Formats: sequence, structure tokens, C-alpha cells
Amino acid sequence: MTYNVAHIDEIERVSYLGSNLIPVRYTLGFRPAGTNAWEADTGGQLIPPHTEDPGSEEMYVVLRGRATFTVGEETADAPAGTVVFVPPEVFRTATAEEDGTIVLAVGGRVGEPFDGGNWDTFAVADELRRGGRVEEGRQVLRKAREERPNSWAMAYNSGCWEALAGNPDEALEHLRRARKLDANAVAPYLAEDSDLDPLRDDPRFKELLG
Amino acid sequence: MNIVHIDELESIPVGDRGLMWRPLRSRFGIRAFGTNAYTADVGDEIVEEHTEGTYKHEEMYVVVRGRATFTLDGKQIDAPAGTIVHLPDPSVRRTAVAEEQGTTVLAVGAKPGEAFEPSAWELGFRASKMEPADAVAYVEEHMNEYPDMAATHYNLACFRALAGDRDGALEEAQRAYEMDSESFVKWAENDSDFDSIREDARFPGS
Repeated sequence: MTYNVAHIDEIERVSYLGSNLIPVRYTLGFRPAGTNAWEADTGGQLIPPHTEDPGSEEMYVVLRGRATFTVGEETADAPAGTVVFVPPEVFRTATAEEDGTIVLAVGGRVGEPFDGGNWDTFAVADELRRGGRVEEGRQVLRKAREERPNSWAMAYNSGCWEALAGNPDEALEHLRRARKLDANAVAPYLAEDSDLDPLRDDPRFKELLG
Repeated sequence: MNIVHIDELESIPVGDRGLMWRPLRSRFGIRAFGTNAYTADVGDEIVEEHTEGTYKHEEMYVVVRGRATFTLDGKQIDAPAGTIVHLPDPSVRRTAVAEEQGTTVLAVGAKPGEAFEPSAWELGFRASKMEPADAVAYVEEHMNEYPDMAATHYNLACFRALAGDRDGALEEAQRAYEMDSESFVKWAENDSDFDSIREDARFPGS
């Protein structure tokens, strides 16, 4: 296929961190930047409250409805057509002021090729798992690992996913692989991520923690 | 807060089919990816006909308001607000026309697998609407924010020629020619901007 066309209303929604994610990048296979949208009704959370790492620029575009943005200490009214740019390391969130409000988020790292797409792929796979479509969810992550075999994050997310699915053997295998790919990057997550709680009493997990 | 409504962005006409470029990336100094907005009225062009042969960008167009008809390699696609058109293949010839007043399209793009660099066309498009002397000053001031490309030197040569700076124009034309002689010859062939210097013995390729 030489091009893809989708309407934002046709993309399957995913719940993630208390928000309703529209996984645009994942659905289309867009490679140049992180691209996702968030949808909420009046009073609902659009963008999960967060900051981005150093070097990560993010732009938000209100596609429909109306939102209130909070960036750093400031808040602003943002009707459809508004664009908000947030530099790295600045706190941001947004809530909907009208039903069916949609905000598109585009992000990437300055001076580096886009290398994200881990958390939103996990979000899609996890939504499928929670909805009982376990094998479909596993397939989403398998395909993502095939596309990016050297991504520690994709291996790590696969470990989390299998832990949540109640498969400690598979989970530990992915986590060992993630640790092998980048032990320093994975260490803080192994130590604290609640997704891995089902494994914490397993001696093999303790061994992995070192 | 870095906040703007697309309707508040500068409006820079591009081409002669009603397309208005609303510079977004440069407004915020975004360096991680390319992004711009475009607005047009009924029947006007909202995406200029092009391929991504030069920049090799993978593009995504989002219809933010109104309705557009995209033509992708000759195939027409109805695109009401909320439609996303994704073009992973840079060779696809793309254009779009607005079907409603005030139709707005957002574009996002970059070359996959590479760190993004701002596209030099931004510089030329903006300067082309200025008086020649102002355009020269603008390009000279901002060209270091963009990758060094033949097209930028070519544009600067045009603006200098129009501003009456013969030596300066020939110098930049020579640089553009050295960087990409094939494109230079093609661009310069019917470019009236060079009428005042084309007969000069120093004009590249002459």
C-alpha cells in the first residue's frame, strides 16, 4: 500500500493512565514522530499529567471540542484549532470542556531519529488482554519485537504484559532479554514497576534483579 | 504558555491557487519534527501538488476543520474533518483541494530513521513574498537555521538578482550550481528572476 487513510472516529480507543487513547501512530504505522490522540467528555482527562525527558518536544492540537491546558503553572482555554507547544521537562495535562473533545499529540527528540512507539504499542496490547483478546494482544507485541529486535523497551513491555497475563515463564524470558539489551535502562523499571508485582516473590525474578 | 490558534498564525500565500501556508514549526522553533498548517477556501488548493522526492519525508495530513479532497497518485479521496492521510512512500504525488470555507489541514513529517532537520523550503516560501532587499536580509539572517542546501543558495541568488546585486547573485548561483548542477540548470532554465544576470559570462552553466 502506498498510502493509508483513516478517520479518527474509526480508530479503536484504548484506556491508558486514566485517559482514552486514540493510537494513531500504531494504527497507521507512522514512523517519523510519536503521534497519538486523546478523547474525553466534559470534565474528563485528555492528556495524562506528565513531563517529558530532556530533548523531547511535544505539540498538542485540539482537533475537536474544547480543552483546558495546564502547562507548568499556567492554564489556558483551548478551543478546536488551538496548538500548544510544550518544551521538554515541563509538566503538562489537559481536560475536556466539551463532550467528544479530541487532542492530537505529536512528539519527538531533538537531534535524534524517532525511536518511540513502545508505550502506545503496549497500551494497545494491554487493552486487548484486558478485553479477553489475549492472543491478539500477544501478537501485537510479537510483531513489534520483530520490527525492533534490539529495543530493550519492547522486550521489557512484553515482560510486563506476560506478567499481567499470568505467565511468569514468558515474562522472565522477555525481562532477561531486556536486561541483556540495556541493563542500565531497564534497572529502575525492574525495581519499581507495579506491572511486575506478580513476579516479585519468584526467586528467578530476585535473581534477575541481582 | 506557547499557545496559538491556527487562525492566528501568519498567512503566507503559496502558489497561485489560493493556498495559505500557516507556519507552525517556525512559530515555536520546533526541532524534533516537521509540522505546518494550511488553510484554503472552497475550490482552492490546500496541499500543494508535490512528491517528497527531495526531502524523503514520510508525511501525515490531518484535516482539522472543513473538508478536503485529496488526490494521491491520481486517486481522489474525500477527507472530512478528522480524516488522517498517511503517506509513507515519498514518491506518491499528493495534492488536496478545500471543499468548504476555512478548511484547515495540519501536516506532520520527517525522514524516518534520521534526526529531523528543518526543511529549507520554509525559508524560500517566506522570503518570496517580501521585497527583494528584505528577502535577501531575511535569508541571510536565517539560513544557518536550516541544512545547507542548493535550493537555499539558489533562492538567495534570485533575491540578490532582483535586488540588483549582480556580483552577490552570481556568487550564490555559482554555489548552488556547485552543490547540485543538474537541479540548478533545471530551475534556472525559465526563471525570470535571473533575467538581469543570465547573459553574464560568469552565470553558471553558460
